[in-house]
Amino acid sequence: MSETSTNPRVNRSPSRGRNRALRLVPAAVVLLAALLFPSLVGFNAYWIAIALEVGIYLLVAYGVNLLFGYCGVPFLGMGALIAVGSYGTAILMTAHGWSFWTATLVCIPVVVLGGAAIALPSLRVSAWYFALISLSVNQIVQGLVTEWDFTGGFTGIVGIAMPTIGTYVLTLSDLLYVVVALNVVVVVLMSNAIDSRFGRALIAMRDSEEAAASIGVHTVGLRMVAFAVLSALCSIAGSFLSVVNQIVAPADFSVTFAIFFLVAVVVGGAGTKWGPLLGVLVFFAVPEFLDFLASWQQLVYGVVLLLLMIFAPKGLVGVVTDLASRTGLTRPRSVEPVEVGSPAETHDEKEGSGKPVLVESELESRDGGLVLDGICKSFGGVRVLDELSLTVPDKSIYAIVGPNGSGKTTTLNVISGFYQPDSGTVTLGGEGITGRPGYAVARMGVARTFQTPRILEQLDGLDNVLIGAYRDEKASMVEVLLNTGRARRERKALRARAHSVLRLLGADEVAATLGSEIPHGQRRLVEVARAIMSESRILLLDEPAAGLSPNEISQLTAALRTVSKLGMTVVLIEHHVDMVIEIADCVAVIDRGRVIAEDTPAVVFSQPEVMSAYMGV
Amino acid sequence: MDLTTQVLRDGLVFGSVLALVACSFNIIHRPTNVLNFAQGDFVMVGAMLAAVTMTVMGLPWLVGLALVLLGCAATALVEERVAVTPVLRRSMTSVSWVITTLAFSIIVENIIAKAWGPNPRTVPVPPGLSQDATDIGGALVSSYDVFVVVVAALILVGLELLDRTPLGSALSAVAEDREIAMLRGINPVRLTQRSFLLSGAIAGLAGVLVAPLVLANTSLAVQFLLPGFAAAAIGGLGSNRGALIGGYTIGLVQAAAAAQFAVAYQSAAVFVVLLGVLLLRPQGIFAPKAVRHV
Repeated sequence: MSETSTNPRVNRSPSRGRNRALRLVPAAVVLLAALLFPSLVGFNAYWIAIALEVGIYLLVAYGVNLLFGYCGVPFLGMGALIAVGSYGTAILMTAHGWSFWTATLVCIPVVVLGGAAIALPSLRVSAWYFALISLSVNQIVQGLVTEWDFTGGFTGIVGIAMPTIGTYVLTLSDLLYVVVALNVVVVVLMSNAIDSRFGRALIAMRDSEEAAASIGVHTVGLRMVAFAVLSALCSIAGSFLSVVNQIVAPADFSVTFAIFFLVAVVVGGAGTKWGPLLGVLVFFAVPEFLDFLASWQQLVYGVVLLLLMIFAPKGLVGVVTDLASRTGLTRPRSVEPVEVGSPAETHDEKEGSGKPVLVESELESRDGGLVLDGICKSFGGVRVLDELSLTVPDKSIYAIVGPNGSGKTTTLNVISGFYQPDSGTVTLGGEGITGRPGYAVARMGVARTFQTPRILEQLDGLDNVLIGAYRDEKASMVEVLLNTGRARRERKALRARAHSVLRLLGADEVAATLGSEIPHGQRRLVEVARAIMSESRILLLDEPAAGLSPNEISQLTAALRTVSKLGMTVVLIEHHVDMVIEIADCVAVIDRGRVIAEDTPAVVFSQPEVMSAYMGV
Repeated sequence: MDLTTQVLRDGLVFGSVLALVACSFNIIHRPTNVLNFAQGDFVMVGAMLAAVTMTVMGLPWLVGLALVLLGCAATALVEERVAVTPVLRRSMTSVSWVITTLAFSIIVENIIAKAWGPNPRTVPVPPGLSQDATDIGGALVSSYDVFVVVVAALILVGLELLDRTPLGSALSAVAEDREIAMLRGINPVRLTQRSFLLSGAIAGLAGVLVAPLVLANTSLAVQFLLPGFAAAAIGGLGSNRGALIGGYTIGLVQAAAAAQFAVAYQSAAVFVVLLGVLLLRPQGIFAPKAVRHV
């Protein structure tokens, strides 16, 4: 529960081993309660069935938390996916005599692929399309299984036997242990994933799609992975539901059933680790004890959903952590302990495949020279870039100046692949990068900052820097999920490196500060640090000094010099002529989509036509 | 009775109603970028209020209509106040409104169901018209059918004209950039409220028009949400012409699916058509391609 804490300033605690052990206590208590549950209720079949349902629903809730809570994608088709898993298992078992286990396994890919076929067209467009289409899928699947004969029509499929192992027929409590074990596996894998670069990329994507693309995250791909995880969990849940209920009927998979999961996750706390468990428990405990609420169930869902989305988007977990941090009961999140010393010390503890400090030699060997040739770009008949050509020498600091509306930001957007030019080519170090999407350009070594810094508010300063290394981390998804030694070592090394980068820029005091609390002047430095972290060949900055105090500007100037010394080419759009004259090796003046001068600052700013176009004199 | 021409009649009549629903989606979407889950509920509220005012209370059709439009507009305004503006104020880019409008839709549907029960109710047609059908070219068409098609078309023409007034330009300005519109003296919150009022009234009108054909009942909300949005999306969000053509298209697809297979396949057919259009032309047929903002 400590991950949502808001107090940013308190740093690492001395006894980290004990802390880690303490963090596991709630999980252990929950696990023990689940395992002891059958004997606590005297093996009462009714209560065990309820516990099973909670465990099965939890699987789905974890998937919903991943897709909605961490990715921000509102999917509402859980009913349909669970229905397919349920019906598939029921039909394979009753009509074809398959065992429960093979039927369950076979259903997973079917549900995942079917879900993907529906998700892909709408996921590309927008969250709303995805939400509406997925909500409609529930009704359609419900209508079709009622209509078809092989799904048993209105009555559904009855007489589904309990699973067997050899000749042993599992009891309900055996099944409960299986479901609890599944939950443990899902929780462990998921929290490993959330703590990794994939988790940070998900959050980056949820809070700023452009920031995610600019560090090389294939956003649609990652969302599809999260969606596939949810689909698989829905399928498994459906299979288990069919044997627990021994009957599968269309009425079980209503729209309300799908909305239940969303409500449960929102109530517990979307995007928090304990949210799904709390939410499912609350929604199970309350209606079970208050039978008279049954006919008001949907209305309660609606009201709760509305109130929480507006007043407490982080649900119960958010409320509890807010209260706790306000009253000082919990220690806020500590940054994973990295010994803070001089960069040299960090350098000494080089280990594994990680890179404790910047690898300057590697950067120097890469060509960050950029050539734009004859770029044209129009928006609805307005020609913003008109045969624009410029040449940025490798490892130089190159400034682009020009009046407002002259096409400077459009130029950056064309270079970074956010816009595709109508004609012309962009070449980086001899390689053509025209026509590639934003994340692919980022992966080729183009980092950028935005006019408004894209700082992820839910992550602390260090994590904001760390996401720069997204495409750089070597540990595979499997290694991350299992939290293997290599994944752990790499994570530690990258954290050390992120620290040293921040220190190099003189911004290490924001390492433990939550993104939303980082002051404006430091945000820019965090973005620059993120770019260094990504070991890009070239860094594009869009008006980095806008709104900074003279002090902060000189800090930024020093930071950009550092970047350049590390071997990265720097391209900046800037209005502060003094700053440009001070640091730029080369200046291009753009006016009405064309380059009207390109030379050293001293030469450029002495030309009369530049002064008239730019300064209006 | 000829099956093909009958499908044509069903398609045009229900398509006209869908075109109105599609427009009501567009009207809210323009200044807010919000697509409203409760849009189908406005249709349902319109039909139910028509049953209450015209059938139960026995008020004249026009008086009943006025009350229905007021009621639906008011419902929409309540939604704007409690479910849309609070989340938009926090962030223009978050998608919380997807969930809050869904929540509002659940609430409205359940309140109406609690108040008036699940039984379908009849709603009268306007005086002078009837649902007695005559055979025209093999299709059974009534004077009321013609009325529905004409009224929907007139409303769409009216909305198109409205778009060309200063109010229409203001709406476009807000859609483009809320903050810049504000600097030019446009109050986006008031515009948002006005669009909710208008959108609620038009969706309510769709409910009044469709009620005599299908009986007023709470499931209308669900029945009109997907097809109404599909009509807007296929036509291209924001385009009145697109809404009309999208409405007719979806109306025909539904009528054909019902005639060819079974009613259960109606939504499946709409769904397949919508996914197909999204794959080939995500922005719809008439809308301009969206420009990415950075």
